[in-house]
Parts: sequence; structure tokens; C-alpha cells
Amino acid sequence: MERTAGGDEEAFRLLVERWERPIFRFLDRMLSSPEEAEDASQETFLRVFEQARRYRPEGQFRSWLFRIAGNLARSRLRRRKVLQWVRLEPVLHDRPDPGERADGAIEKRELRRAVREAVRALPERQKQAVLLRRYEEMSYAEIATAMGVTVPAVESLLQRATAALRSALAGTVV
Amino acid sequence: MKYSDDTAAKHVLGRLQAFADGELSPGEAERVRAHSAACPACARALAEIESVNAALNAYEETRLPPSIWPGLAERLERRRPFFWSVPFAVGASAAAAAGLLIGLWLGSAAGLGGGQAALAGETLRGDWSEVGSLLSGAGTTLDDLYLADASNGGETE
Repeated sequence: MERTAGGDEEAFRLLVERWERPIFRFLDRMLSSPEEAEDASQETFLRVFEQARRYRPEGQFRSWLFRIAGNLARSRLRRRKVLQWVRLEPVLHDRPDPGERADGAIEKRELRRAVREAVRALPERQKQAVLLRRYEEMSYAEIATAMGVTVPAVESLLQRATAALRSALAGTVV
Repeated sequence: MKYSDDTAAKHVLGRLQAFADGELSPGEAERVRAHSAACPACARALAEIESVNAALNAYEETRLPPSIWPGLAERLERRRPFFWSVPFAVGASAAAAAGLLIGLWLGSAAGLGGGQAALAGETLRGDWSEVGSLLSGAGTTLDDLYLADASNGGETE
């Protein structure tokens, strides 16, 4: 990171190579669009390069990186909402209908779809907390840094997210 | 052990998420574990949290694209301000040198006093050396100049 801050492009390329997969995965789940996630990943690393001199080594690099990515994702989601409102497009979440419970075992594909849609429908900050906890395996303290909130706030976000997911998945998988 | 005190039960309910996530201290985790073993409501709530966590493991794995580096490098290059590009710097240097020569020639052609011509030449030489020091000064690279400029413009919120 120090070398990147000094403008070393090769060091920056190695840094991108190390982190591009987790960042893309996180952004894909936040934005539900691989194309937009790829674009947002590039934007995230551009900001890293531009702001490398502001980075303080005592902070956790991962939290700092995911904070940039999370802010970009939330900004894009807000922009998307405004555009949908301006164009009067319906916001479709495709939630599973609890009345549609299939007899016997639910197929894996159906389970994945239900979970994906339930996560997609979460409010932005709850979704961000869930993704950082479940898929990036961050501690509450790391999530707090990455989201710019307190540890109790992270716990509260995760509690509300779990309640919402339980409700969305009721009768399907939970 | 039976829990009829609602307050106690609620307090444990409030820590179940952190307990399931392994975020409690050993002492508090033990307290929640013991309470949940004796309290059906908390045990049920804990089971629900754990089943949601388990369901999240079924989230469809994202398809990862090939490396984003080629596209990123292109965008990085596009964002580099034109002012600091090498062709511009070479052009600016050539223009400054030409300006210096023209200034000296015009000064002598118009009959300017030696002092005035020297002053005009000094000014142009000053401009030239400023460009030169920006480009070749100790430890200064084009990237440094670009980063110094960009560090004021970024934002994370």
C-alpha cells in the first residue's frame, strides 16, 4: 500500500489482483448485477489509487477498502431508486410467496433463488452488514469500521436483517 | 431452571445474534448458552437465527469475471490529467524555448535596451526552469504530481 501511495503502478496491480475477487463478489451481491459490479469494482480501485496517500497504516486495509466499495454501492443503489422513480418503473423484488411451499425437499436452485431475493430486498445498510458478516466473515468491529458505525449499531443491523430474512423466507426454507 | 421474568428473557434475546455470530465474551456466551438451554422462547429464537444463517450459505455463488486490471489500467490512464502528460510536457518545453528565442529576437529588433531584453529573457527562463523542475525535480514523478492533485478531490461518502 505504501508503494501504491508512492505511485508505483506495479504495486497497485498486485494489490488489485489480491482484492478484486472479494470486492467484485461483494458488489455483485450488493448491486445484483455482474456488469455494474465490474464497473463499480474498477471505480473502487481507482479511488484506492487516488486516495492511497490518505490511508493510515494503523487502520485495517480491508475495512478501508470495503468502506469505499460499500459507499459506492449504496450511492449507485440510491441513484437507481431515483431513476426508477423518475421513470415510474415498478421496483420488483420477486419475493417468494410463502403460500407456494413445495411438498418435500425444495430444490437447491429454488432455495438459492429465495435467499438471493430475500437478501436483495433488504434495506441497503442491513444488506451491507449481512454481506460483510456472512460472506467476508468480518468481525463486528471490522464491519463497524467498514460502515462508519458503532459495534452496537452493527449488532442491531444484523438483528433486524435476520428478522427480515426470517420473515421473507418463512415457509420456504426457515 | 425456569425463567418467568420477561426482562431477563428479553435481555438474552437481544444478545442471541451476537452469540450466534461468536461475538460475545466467553463469560457472556456461557450465560446466554445456559439461559437458552432453560428458556424455550430463547432456544426457539436462537434456532431461527441459526437457520437463517444456514440458509444464507445457499446464496448463489457469483460468477467472477476475468481480471478487472486491463479495464482498470485503461481508466487510470484516461483519468491522468492531460496537463501532466508527457507529450504535453514536451510540447510546453518546446514552446517555452521558442518563446525565449522569439522574445530575445523581438527585443533586439525593436531596439529594447539591453536591460529590458535581459529582463524578458529572465522571465521566460524562469518559466522554463519551473516546468523543468516540475518534471525532473528531486523525487518528483508525473504520478506524484497527479496524486497530489487527486488527493484533494476524492471522497468516500
